[in-house]
Amino acid sequence: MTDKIVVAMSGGVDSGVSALILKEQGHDLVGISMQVWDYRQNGGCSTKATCCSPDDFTDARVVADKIDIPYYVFDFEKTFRKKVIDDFVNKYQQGLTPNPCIECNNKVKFKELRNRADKLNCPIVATGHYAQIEKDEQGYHLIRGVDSNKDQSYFLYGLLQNELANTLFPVGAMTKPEVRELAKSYGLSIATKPESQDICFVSGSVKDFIVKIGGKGKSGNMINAKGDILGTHDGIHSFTVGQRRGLGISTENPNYVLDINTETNNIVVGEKKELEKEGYLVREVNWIRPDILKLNQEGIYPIKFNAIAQVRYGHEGVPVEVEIVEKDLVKVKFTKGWATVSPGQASVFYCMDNKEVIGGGKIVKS
Amino acid sequence: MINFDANASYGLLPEVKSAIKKFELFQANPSSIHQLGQNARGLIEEARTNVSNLLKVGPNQRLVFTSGASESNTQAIFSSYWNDIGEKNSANIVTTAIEHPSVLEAVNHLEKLGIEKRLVYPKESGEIRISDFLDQIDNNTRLVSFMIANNETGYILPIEELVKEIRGKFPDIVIHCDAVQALGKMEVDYSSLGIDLISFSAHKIGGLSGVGALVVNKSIKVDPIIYGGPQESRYRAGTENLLGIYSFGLAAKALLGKLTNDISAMKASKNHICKELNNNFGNSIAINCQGLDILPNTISLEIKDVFSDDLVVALDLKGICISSGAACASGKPLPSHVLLAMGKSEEKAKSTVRISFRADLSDKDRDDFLSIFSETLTKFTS
Repeated sequence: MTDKIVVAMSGGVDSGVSALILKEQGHDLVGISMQVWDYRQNGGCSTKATCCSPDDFTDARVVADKIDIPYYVFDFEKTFRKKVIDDFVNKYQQGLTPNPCIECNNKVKFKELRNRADKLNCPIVATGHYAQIEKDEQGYHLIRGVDSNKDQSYFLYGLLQNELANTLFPVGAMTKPEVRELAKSYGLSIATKPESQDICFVSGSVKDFIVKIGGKGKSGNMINAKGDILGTHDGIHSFTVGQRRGLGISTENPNYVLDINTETNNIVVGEKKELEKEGYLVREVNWIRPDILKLNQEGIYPIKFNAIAQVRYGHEGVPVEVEIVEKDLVKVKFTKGWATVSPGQASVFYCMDNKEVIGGGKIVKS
Repeated sequence: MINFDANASYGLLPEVKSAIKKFELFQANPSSIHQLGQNARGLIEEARTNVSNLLKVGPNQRLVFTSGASESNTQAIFSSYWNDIGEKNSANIVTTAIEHPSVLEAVNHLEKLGIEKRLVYPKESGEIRISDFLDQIDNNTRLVSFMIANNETGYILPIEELVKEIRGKFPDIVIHCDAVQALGKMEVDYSSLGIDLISFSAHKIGGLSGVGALVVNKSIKVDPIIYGGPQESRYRAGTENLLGIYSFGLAAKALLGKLTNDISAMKASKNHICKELNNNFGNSIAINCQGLDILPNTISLEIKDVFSDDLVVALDLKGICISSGAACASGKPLPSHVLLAMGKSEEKAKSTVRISFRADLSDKDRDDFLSIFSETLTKFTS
């Protein structure tokens, strides 16, 4: 490959090593950091935040200098605010549980960043994601990263075939310790930099963040399935289906959030067994695996197949039967065991070997 | 790389480059008693003489070396004239909205301590009106601070008249000038202006970065902001930046002999570049502050529908350094506060690039710049 590559650099070790690997392979690289959120303007820099601070950009710049590639910081604050932050806050206010990393990948990293990269005559974008892309005669396949603790394929189900064709994940075939070791062997100071945690732009609790950006929520009642009032709450944004902690009510058995009713503004709680369902519905889908993508393009529904569904980041996956009912509606049925699903989260379907991404979409209220 | 970002850092003069190879000269503490220390002291004072000659520092003034113009500006603004603020609580400071952050942030800090901040805004053209300035000053004004020339647009303020008007009405007000961008690009008789405090920087005239100067009127009390030893006549403690100060002296000495020629050369280059750009892109570009006095090496260019950061990066990848505004330590691109103060929209501010060059710009570098810039801009605007 002789095309020029933009490598997205956060200042962390994964993207730094990605740049290093590509440079060693002899590619022509441009390093770019995306400024997406200003911690100084938005409630102070927390010690937890590990990107978008001037120190992180300095870390990235030091790596770029060490491996001798040009490096720049691009301002994506406006896009990020609109496409990621506002969406995050709105979804929580609607009683959903969004995953901002997915929106960031779909709408910022692999869209806006790619557009800017095109202007620099760089058709390829590389990131430090732990995921792998394979190509065969049918097309491109998205595969979990080799390091099962770090795999980030869940966040990437929104990639299109033509995007996969122009994307590189240089650390996808490595384990995190190998990545750190490589950084260390090249004397990169970021080798021992701590992992970024949770959501990059939230420095305190999600609940406080939603209130700070979106304003106070409307108070309502905590009720059980029968409708008995067990307590009150100060806004549905504080809850996720399946949540147990922080409900503020005490009964004999532990309570879980069963449902978030946006019409009555009530939170329905109950015992864990009441969470069990036969399945769930998914919309806003994207199919990656070429055979399933082709069937969808032919448009003869329903399309059925068995898969392993991952319903949140870090979830180990559960066997399901997937039925694509129509273009943007998928019925998912648990076939062995079940999982708590939170509307708003992504359900990503993997092949039965639990390695290759077939596609995914957003879990909707059923 | 061709340097069209000379206002960020001028690049070392040949005299400085050869001197810094003599590292054996720069190993002693200028305050040490022994001969090596004495030699080092000699270098510092030689530099002081060189810089003082360039700035025509008079007998009632003192040239203080600092770590750079940000320190000079901060020291000029934080000083003892605020000491009795607790009792009166009615003091104010007047400055412009187009100052360097080292002035504006220092003033913001004073504001937190209870001192009133008064900002003078430029007109849409970029001009700072003397009357607007005078309107902000009253008997409670303790300090007035303004730059001689703006780093981003190159706009030159009417300093002589400003000082005359202020002095005429308020003879006791302390006046500070940030002369960082003016030095080496215009003829200014700093000693006869009647300014109390003037800030300078070495790396804007071909010396090393990390060294600057504050010229102080001895009759006003200026406190140190760095405490310790009695260096720099007790205005600034700490072992001197020997190499940096020496480089400042060499750059000043070189500049003293060539300033008039430098200015002519800059003017010629600028005329040529502006003419070419206007011929090629007359419909899609506008030069900021046109019709006003502008530094002869600075062109602030607003380009229709072009995001300046993209252009800066694309040119960098082709070996041309320009800037989308002032250099920022975080590397994070922000819309220019100078252009925003002129009433421009954030969008327009983010479509503006700064082209600034050295006096010794060769015809070849100038023409290479023009052809690469034109080629890149054509691609961006097509």
